[in-house]
Amino acid sequence: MRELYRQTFSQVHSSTVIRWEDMEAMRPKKRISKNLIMLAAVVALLTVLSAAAVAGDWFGLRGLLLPQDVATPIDPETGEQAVETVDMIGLSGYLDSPENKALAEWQAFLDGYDVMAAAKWLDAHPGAVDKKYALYGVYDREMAEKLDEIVEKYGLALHTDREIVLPDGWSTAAGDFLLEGNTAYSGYIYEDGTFAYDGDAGLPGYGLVDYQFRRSVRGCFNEVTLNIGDVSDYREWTYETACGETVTLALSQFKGLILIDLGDSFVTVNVLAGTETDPDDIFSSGAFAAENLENLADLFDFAALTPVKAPDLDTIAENSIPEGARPPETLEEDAIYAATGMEDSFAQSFYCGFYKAVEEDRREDVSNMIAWPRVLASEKEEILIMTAEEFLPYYDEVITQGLKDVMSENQYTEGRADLFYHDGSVGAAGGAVWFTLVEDGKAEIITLQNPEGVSVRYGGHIGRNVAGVYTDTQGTDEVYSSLELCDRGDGTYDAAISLYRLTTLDGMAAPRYDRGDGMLYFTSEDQLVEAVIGFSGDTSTVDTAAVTITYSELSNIQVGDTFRFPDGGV
Amino acid sequence: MEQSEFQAAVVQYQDMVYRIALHQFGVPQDAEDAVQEVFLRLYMEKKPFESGEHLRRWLIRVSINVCKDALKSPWRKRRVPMEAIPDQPVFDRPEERELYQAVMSLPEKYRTVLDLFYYEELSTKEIAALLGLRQSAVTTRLSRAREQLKEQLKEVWKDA
Repeated sequence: MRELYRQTFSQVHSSTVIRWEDMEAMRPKKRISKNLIMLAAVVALLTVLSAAAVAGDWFGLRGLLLPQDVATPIDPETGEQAVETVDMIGLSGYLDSPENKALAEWQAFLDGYDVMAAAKWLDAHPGAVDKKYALYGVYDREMAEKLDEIVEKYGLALHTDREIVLPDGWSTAAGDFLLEGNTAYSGYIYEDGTFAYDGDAGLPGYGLVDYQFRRSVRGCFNEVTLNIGDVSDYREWTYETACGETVTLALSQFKGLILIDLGDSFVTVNVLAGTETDPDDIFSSGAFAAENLENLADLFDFAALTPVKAPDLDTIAENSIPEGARPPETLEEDAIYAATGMEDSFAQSFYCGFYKAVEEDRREDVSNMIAWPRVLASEKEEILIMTAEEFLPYYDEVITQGLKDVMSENQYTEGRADLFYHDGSVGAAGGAVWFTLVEDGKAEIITLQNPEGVSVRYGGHIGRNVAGVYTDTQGTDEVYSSLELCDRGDGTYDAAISLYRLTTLDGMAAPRYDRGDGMLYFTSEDQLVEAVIGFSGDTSTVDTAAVTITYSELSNIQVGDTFRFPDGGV
Repeated sequence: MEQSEFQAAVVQYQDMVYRIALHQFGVPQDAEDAVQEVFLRLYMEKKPFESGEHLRRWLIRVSINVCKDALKSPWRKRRVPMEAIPDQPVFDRPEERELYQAVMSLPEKYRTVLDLFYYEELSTKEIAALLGLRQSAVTTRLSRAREQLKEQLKEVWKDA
């Protein structure tokens, strides 16, 4: 498979021309150096700009400008200081609007805040930030409090929900604002009707032009800003579209903008073309002129976007793409997902199910939620348990009242527990319960440890060299099946699994240090079979081993098959 | 980085960067944009590379990061159906075209691990580190991707 894959994708080539000579021109001229910005100075500048905007009656590009970030970073090589600025515009309304004032204040706060540290804090404290901030870049309580303060000050609300809209769904979601030749691709729409999408349009004498469309509905706080380069590079004018609506147009070497304030919403069209489009760009149709921008504005009926009607998100969701194909919705879930592979809501739901099963003494359900095989370990012995059924006789040794008590103390509410994570697994009840994602959409309990010192856990070879031959003689002198492990000297093993009348598998077995679970993970040389190998025994010997197949492309070996080697030790 | 080193890196690794970006985006135009961004970052990189392999790993990491950043952008939400993707490469054999189409029709998360595992020959541990995932999640994605490809490409898979 690898060979075919490589052969196929070796025929995929990039057509972009990359030249050293072009790089200097492409280097960003203006960079934001946020950490050096003084909050007070920025807020003062905001006040000045707001006043100027109102006094000057700006309803063009400058009327959208957020306070310019001003920094004086010291070049570590030359020791020189330079002033660096960037022109950003808010996409929520003109500068004197509550939405844009709120955005400016939020940006000013972020400029003086260690956002990275906050994000790391949230990594270590998943679930610590309320879900109402899920659609915003809020990583800790201070940020949450600041955002609350700002939206309250300006009389705004936070977005609560959003859904993906497919290309053919825009008419239903937002109205018939797209005229012939104008195409919207997938995008998002929020509960209040705020939406954004990427689109393209065919223009006479020009061809296809890409653009990005955003409507921000008044009354909600939006974080989105757009870097427009240098505002002084833009030519601006007003234009009456074919539908009779007056828009502001702006065009620079690299970008075009269509702006219109509809009263109950503000629309920005970011055109990905300018007057000096790179001639080497094979995707470009050439330089974009003022006439082209006017033609593009003619392909929208902006009046169809007002008055704003709140969309029916349930209907949109039903017509949207499958759940599994959606990007993570929230930053909180992002953090948990990145660390454990499961979203916060999924982890809470799974653990809640386990907690209830324990509480209601549904023994088979509890057993079936544990990943087998596992070692049942107590002070006196270690027993290798391969299946949920085998665990039932030992149930009361593990699921004791002590364990139930610590689990109960761990619950915030019936449906929400204090969860944390480490090394890719989620912990609960102060570490008495651990679970992890074993495949997409499926989690299993990997460790249980009660206050009495009895645990169900991966068992095995931690601290021991398990090299040797493990056999299955089926009570005779003859070896029917065998597992042979040869130490490679680096913690991994060459493994040969000989299965009576089935096959012989050669490959490598290695522990997963990221999990520290004590199991060995086997992959055959041809990558057709994967398995997990567990061991039982005390700290000096290994009594038995068992191999459970976790992936197989062989017809005679199935996922879930377990092969035991009870007769051999090291 | 000297001009000659830069140009050599472009010659040697431009297609690799493009492949990674194409697997992430599934859209050639976005992938080409990412190629430009990645090499701009290489141009601006001041630290020397210890070896060719160091440079290759750096480019893989930056490519992944550039694409991840772009995918997070509120502006980039385009999802183009397979039949609408322009400029598909011309392949030598029909089974290669089928494989390409099958891979491109997979969800983004599966495409990326396939490329890094099968083409760039990174280990699942390395892929996990690059993508910020657990190794087991990478293994799961690989298994799922293989299953889906196997389902779509019954004959091709058998021959391969």
